[in-house]
Amino acid sequence: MGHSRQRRIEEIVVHEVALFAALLVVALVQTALLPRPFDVSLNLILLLAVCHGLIAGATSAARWAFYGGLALDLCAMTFAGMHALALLTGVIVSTVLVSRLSRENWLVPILGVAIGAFLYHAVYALLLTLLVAPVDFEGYALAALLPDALIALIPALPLYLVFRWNEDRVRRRVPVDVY
Amino acid sequence: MLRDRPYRLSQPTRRSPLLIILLLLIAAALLSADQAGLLGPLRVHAQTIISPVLGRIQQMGAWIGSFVGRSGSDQALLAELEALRAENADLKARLIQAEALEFENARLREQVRIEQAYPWQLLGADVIARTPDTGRRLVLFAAGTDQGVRPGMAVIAREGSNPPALIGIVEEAGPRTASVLLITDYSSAISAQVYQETDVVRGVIQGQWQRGSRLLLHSVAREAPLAAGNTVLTAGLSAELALSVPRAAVPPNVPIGVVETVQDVGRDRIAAVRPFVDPDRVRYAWVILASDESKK
Repeated sequence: MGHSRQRRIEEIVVHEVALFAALLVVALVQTALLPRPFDVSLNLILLLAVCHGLIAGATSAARWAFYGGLALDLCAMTFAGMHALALLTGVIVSTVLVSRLSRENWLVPILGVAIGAFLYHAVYALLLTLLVAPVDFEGYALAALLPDALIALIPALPLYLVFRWNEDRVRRRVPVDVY
Repeated sequence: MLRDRPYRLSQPTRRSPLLIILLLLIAAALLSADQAGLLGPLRVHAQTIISPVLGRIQQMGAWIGSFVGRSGSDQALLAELEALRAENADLKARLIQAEALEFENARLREQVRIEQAYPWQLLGADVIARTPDTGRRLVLFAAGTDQGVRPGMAVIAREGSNPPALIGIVEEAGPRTASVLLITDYSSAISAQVYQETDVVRGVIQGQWQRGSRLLLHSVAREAPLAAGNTVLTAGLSAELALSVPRAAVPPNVPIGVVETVQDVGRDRIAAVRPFVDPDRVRYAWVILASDESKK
């Protein structure tokens, strides 16, 4: 009993470490490899966390947002937890709000990513104001929030469809005769 | 019959507010701890590990970019070119080496030229990464405390026929890398001056990227003789007053940019300034390690 519990804990730890490592790779790619059209970077971590959250639920999305945020903090040279807090807020709220809609509705990822990007930037700008220097929110919205949200909307639907397809594929593995 | 293969039951979506609250609390705690400086050594270690990886990925990106760019041209010509390259492998290796040396020589010649013209001791290095945030203007510089880089030092670069000009200030320095806050970031504020015939106009140069422009010169007296075309330089006030603050490492008279428009707002006069060097385009820069004003 004790042995199986320990094994279960080990499995959870390995799973979480693997998730963090994977998201760190994504953050590195986002930082150094992704092209920046018009000097705007695609927030890959936000996109992945929101799309995953719309399929798997808010709790799982929160884990992705937390690990992804920490990975971004490492790559962005910002205070640890800054991106994590902003991502957690954006991802959880957008997931909870939008997951009420039907999964089949193609507007789900568009709305989810738009709300997520808006909240992410709102919290991030607020943290910058509190911890770094006062932000001109109107200017920030025009220079960072709007272009970031617009560019994130482009791959939102295809990515969501991939997540949904994967979820359906995994579900089909369940043998009916188990029951 | 049960099939002998792994299966997974689809679980209903659960919301565990406890885990979400816990993650939010951990993130907030990390933020507070880091702001209080408790995570400083950990951050330096993490940056030491992450920086080379970022550099490699950046190089890979540049290679992929050049490869993709080439694929659009004449395929037959490329195939012929590849064959020739294969035949001349040794020659190519030497050529690359020579090119690298020539490139490095050009950079060193440029550095010597600047050091002859200005009283600065420079250290050149690559810009290896930029922050992934659209909202910030920070870059990672491939030199750190091991090479003598310290927070507060001025970072300059050169572009086209413009003079070498300030692009940012070292914010944090690890052993082999340093993060540089670009002058265009809204949180960057540096004392600046404009020389007029018999007068010196002083003010603060503030980053304006998040506000849709580049730089703003403010805190200038309304009656100050400021006009479009004036050259804006660093004032080095902290250095002049011998203050023991990081910004004291910024020497005076480092070119910043040119005044484009002047406007009166309340009791102040403000000016939009176009930087000599676009910090976002810089791939190689120099840190001013020391300044010897007596050399002038």
